[in-house]
Amino acid sequence: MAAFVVLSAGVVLPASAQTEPEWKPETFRLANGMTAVVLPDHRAPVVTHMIWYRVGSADEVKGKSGIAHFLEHLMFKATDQLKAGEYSKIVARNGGQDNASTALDFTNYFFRVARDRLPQMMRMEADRMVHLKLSDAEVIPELSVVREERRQTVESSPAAILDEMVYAKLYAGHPYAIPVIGHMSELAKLTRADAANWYRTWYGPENAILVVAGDITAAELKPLAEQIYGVVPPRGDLKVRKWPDVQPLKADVTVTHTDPKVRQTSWWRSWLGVAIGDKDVEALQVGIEILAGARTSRIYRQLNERGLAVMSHGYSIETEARGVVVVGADPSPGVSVSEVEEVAARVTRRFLRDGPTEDELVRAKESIAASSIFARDNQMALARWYGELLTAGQSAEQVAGWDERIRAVTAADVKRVMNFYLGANHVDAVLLPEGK
Amino acid sequence: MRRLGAVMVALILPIVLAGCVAVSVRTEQRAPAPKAPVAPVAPVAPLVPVMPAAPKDRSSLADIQVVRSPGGITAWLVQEDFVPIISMEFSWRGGASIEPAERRGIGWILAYMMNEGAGGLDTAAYGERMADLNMNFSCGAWTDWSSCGMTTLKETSDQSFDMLRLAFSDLRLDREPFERAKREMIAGLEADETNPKTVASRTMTSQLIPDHVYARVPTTKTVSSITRGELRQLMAQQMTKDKLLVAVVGDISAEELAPKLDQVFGKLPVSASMPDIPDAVAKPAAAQPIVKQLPQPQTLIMFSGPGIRREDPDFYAAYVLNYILGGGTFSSRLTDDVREKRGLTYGIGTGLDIRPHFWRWQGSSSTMNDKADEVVKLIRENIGRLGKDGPTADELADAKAYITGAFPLAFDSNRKIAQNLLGFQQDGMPADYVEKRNSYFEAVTLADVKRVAATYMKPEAFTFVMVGQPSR
Repeated sequence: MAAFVVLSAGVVLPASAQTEPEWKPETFRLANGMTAVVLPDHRAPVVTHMIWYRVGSADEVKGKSGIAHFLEHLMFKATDQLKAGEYSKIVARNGGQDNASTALDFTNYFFRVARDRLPQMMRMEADRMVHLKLSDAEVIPELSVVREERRQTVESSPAAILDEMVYAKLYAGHPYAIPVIGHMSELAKLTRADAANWYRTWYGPENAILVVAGDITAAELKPLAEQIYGVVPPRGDLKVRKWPDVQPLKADVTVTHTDPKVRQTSWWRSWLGVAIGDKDVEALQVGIEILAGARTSRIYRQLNERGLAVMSHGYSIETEARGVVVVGADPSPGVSVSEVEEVAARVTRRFLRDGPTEDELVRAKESIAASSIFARDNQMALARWYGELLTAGQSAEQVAGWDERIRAVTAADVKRVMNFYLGANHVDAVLLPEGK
Repeated sequence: MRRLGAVMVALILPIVLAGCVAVSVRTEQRAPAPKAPVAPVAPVAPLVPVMPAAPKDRSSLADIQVVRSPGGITAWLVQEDFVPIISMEFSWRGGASIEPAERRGIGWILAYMMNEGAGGLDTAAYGERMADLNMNFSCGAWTDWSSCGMTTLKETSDQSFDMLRLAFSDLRLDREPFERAKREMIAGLEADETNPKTVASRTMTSQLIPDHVYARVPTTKTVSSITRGELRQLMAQQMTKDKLLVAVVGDISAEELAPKLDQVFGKLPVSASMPDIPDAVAKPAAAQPIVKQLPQPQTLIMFSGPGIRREDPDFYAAYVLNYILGGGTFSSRLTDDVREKRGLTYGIGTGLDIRPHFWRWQGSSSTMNDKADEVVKLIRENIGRLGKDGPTADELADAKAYITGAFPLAFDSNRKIAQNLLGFQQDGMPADYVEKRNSYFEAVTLADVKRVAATYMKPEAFTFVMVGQPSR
């Protein structure tokens, strides 16, 4: 019953279905600059409501890492109208569920609730868009919660520790090098003033996108949104995101982490990937699926089925700045990282030289495109997918056209794009047990 | 990637989205508890716009048809054509609990093999065929159940059902995938040795019921010794018609489904004898927390006390009480006290862990090593206070409002509906449970929850396990 679908490693972000001509997202815009998307699904009298702010950890300034995520936590505290913690308690009392998440590019708040409760919940959401009231009595314990979160999700996880090291190298000089949750030393020093400043700099209707999936139409949502969100005056002076370009790596790099908790050696290779909306997105998704993403992929055949690895994976993650492409494997007992790496490199070189076979191409394209139909089975996954891409500047039509673009990918596209991205320098990550 | 099925309820799982990097979330998601909206709250402003009534009649969350095939296979079906897909979930009672002690892990290996080749299709051909059909089919093994799930597009469903028929009538069990399955499982067992959740739950189980089948875990030795012949025997014993439960949701009618059920499952044996598993009897609670050292900055705390059977008339009251203690994600006594007020943890939660032969009240939390004792003390205090005074009328009303109001949230996708319908069948509920379920929670009174609290909320009855480097 978990409300989240964690998309399986790999590429395949869910999409909308072009094959069902009667289904399509509806969009409208409010006078204060807020954009809204409706993803109708009338199977159950339930809606999933999300507000996406176009601000993430990549907008943080030096020394204040973690502030975007910390503010996300603080958004559940007091406002002019609500006491601290009341937001979530009221959602629950109305049979709803709520949560939020922060990433490099965005901060997302959602609730899921029966459709007749939607207006009340939206009113609370509009309230905290501009009326958050922070006090030390709430900020200080919450900062300690966030530090526990870092201890739990990063510092107790050897793979997460190594992942931070990979990002630091892959994105050196770019804010993507900063961990979303923040460095512990900087987290510890964040203050109420930092949080208030962050809120005032980035939060307001003109920097927000509304996504509602479920039992509602645009005709029903629009008057509600106008009356509830439309009356929130724009801040007028919110900061506009500006990042330096991601710099290509000058040489291959290896980062290693040795940890007494590691039992299974892991290796993964990361290259700079593709930005959301780039013309290469779909060809790269298809290419990486054939190389290492699927159960039928070339790497799986050569590593897993031949006993060299107990696990292998490959995927492309698109972000607003350049994303990341990853291929990796966990070597079997008695097999070294370099053996696995060599085989993976050989398979990759061959793929870059020859490109995909017709069979591989058709299979990958069809199964990726079909995921757009399966995605419509889950409000949460669908809303997340649209929200993330809209926050990065895509239109709903562009998102809905994804499966058609997948189907249009040619073997020549795959070959060219895979050569461009996987031919560049990379970061190798090696996770080792102690004493090896 | 298939992984070993989690044996215990997963309580503390922060969500990380696609890829292992980008997102950290405010808290974990927990299985939502279910009930009908009671007190609508208008916190901010007077009601302005009102949502019009839902456009179509939805007196029922799921219109369940009980389909019986000509060959005698029964399935719960919800016909739903909004998305042109079909989801099917099915399972057999048994799971790890029926495995021979010296072959622990065999159920997982069998589950792994179910989509690794059948009939004329070897592992590669079967995998390619599944990809070509855009179908998903995989199985898993749990302590008391072996379960499978399949999703398919409507347009290729005939071929997808035929792929299942092949698997359940002519499974290949080729050497390569068999060896691969063992390799992966053994690697997983090694990783489990330092996984704090696995360490905690195994420590708890071996403390409470050391001699029961639930306390037996697979090892490199038991997995290595499994043979393919034994997989066939297990399949014949486990996957029989009399133990089969099926739920189907999607773009398919009862008339279309009935012959498919016979096509897929018709060749299965009618029944087979099963080992008799006794109910477990827990040892008395340990006076002090049991500590397992693991080099990390946090201590995972797990606690377990006497629980309640699903069939117990007090189950609904206990479920409500659990929401008040630690079941509500952002609304529970433990979350308020340990997280919100003191900032000692990112997540704390409790749940009713009900298995056919052992039923416990259990919870977990994580905190920095030198606060572990303090958190244990707070948990004990909160349990004790709830046992002594019981919940308030407001807490009861809030809990019932959430549990009944959130029930529809479990019915907004074919996949989720199929999983829930299978779960209700596993719990032994009739098909009209979906309609009646909220009324059982509505009927819970303050006297009920107080009685249940007085019976179960005894801090001295809870055993605590700590995994990490708690300073003592």
